Amino acid sequence: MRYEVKKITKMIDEVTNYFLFNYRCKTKIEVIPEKSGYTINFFFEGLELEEKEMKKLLEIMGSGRDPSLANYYWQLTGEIENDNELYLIAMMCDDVKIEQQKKGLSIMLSRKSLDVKK
Amino acid sequence: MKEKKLYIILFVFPLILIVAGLVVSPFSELFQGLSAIITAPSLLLTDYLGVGGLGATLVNAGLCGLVSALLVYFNKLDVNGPFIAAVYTVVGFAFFGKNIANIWPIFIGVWFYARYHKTEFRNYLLVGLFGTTLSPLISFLTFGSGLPFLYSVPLGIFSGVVAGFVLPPLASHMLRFHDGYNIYNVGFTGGMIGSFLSALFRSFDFTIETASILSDDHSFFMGVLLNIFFLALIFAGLFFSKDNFSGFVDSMRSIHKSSGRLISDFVRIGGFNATIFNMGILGILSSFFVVLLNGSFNGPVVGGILTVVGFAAFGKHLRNCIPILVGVVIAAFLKIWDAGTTSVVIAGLFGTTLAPVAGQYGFKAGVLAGFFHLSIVMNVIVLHGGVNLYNNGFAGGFVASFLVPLIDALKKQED
Repeated sequence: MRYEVKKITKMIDEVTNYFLFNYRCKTKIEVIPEKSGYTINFFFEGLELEEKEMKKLLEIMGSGRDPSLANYYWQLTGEIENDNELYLIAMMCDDVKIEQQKKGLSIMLSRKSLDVKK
Repeated sequence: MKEKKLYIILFVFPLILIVAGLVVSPFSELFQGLSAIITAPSLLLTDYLGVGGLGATLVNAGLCGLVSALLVYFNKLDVNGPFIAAVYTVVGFAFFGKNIANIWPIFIGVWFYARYHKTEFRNYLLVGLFGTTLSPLISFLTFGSGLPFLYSVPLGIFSGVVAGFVLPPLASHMLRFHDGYNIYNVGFTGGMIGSFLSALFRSFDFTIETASILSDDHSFFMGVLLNIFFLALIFAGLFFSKDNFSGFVDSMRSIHKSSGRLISDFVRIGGFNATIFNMGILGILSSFFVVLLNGSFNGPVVGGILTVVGFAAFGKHLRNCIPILVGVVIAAFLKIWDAGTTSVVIAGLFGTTLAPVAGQYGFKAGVLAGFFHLSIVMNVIVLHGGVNLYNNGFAGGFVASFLVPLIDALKKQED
């Protein structure tokens, strides 16, 4: 797949921008290159989302991979400070896990390099 | 949305147009009209109502819409805002530039691009549907270049395939130019490709100039037909929501909260019922705008209205469209153009490509965007000579990329 590394860095850009802009919290990012794609782990230290915010985030990030839109619009990710493209991020991912932990919020994004609709 | 019944929104209007076309014109006239439409150079503004008559134009628009809907269906794509917008845009522009013959080379070019990257055509179909903005390039080179058919037919098809092939990467890249504030992004991309190719052909002594074929003969019929459909959309949206009306109101609120910036899929944000209601409402608003300016429901205006209606599933609503229309009207009264002319009316309708500017930055910013848009759109068409049908999308890209950083910078200073 073309632009795969660029897509991964823009996904990191978008998610980081969203949480820094809205919550301004200490952020740890881990990128794991794998044979079939990439896994990105975010940890937002000390961040505790309210139930309503969590529900909204889970809803946005739960759309599933959709290359019919993501292949075209992926370049919009990470470009705007005061708006977000999290829905687009969800369309670029094969798996998304969001977990509220005691010490903060963890998000795991997994993307295979193949354009297969889930 | 995966439910198969939702495909009805893609199929119903093209089928209505085909049936209406078969009813209003005898077969002999239909074939003559369709032949005239297919062989027209189709550069902006070529009103097919004036070229092929009412029946043939309705059948052509219906067939183009049906082909688009079938492509979505057979590629097993979800019925979401972007695809509703794409199908209605194809139908709208099939009143003035797209026809059942000249859309295919673009699809083939996009298909080749998908094959080149060893991926499925469905992953680029959206760009393919919007990409038919460059269909006049094929018609012009085939029927308007003055070359013998032996050369003009392959040249037209080849140019269309090349245009389709380069569209997906360019369309994706061009998004960064305006950051999604110009909803007709493929129009901006098509303008770039059209300008590039027109300059190339002009340097080989081809004359590519805009056309002005307009017909007001069927204005009343088209106005009535469209508005019956829009009222049906409004009633359908309300009827299907009768068991959960408060949920419907919440959905409409969610839609109107959205800035409309790419990608704002209203089927996802507000659900299907609120989306078709919004489509109907914007259809009525657009028609009211035409009547207010004393315009006519000719081919380009009908195309403009249907495009607004399609994008009412993908970024447009009353809150972000009205400021743009106000800006264009103010500009029309202050500047050198007559407000009732087709050019100004469609500049208003298609100018709502800048609706996200109003959605994000408020009413005054939207009015300003509309005010600038009229001037820009009247000047950029010479670059591509009318081979790019989404001329307002081309202009909108410039307006958004000029205005948004300035508004943003000034806003930040206030903070």
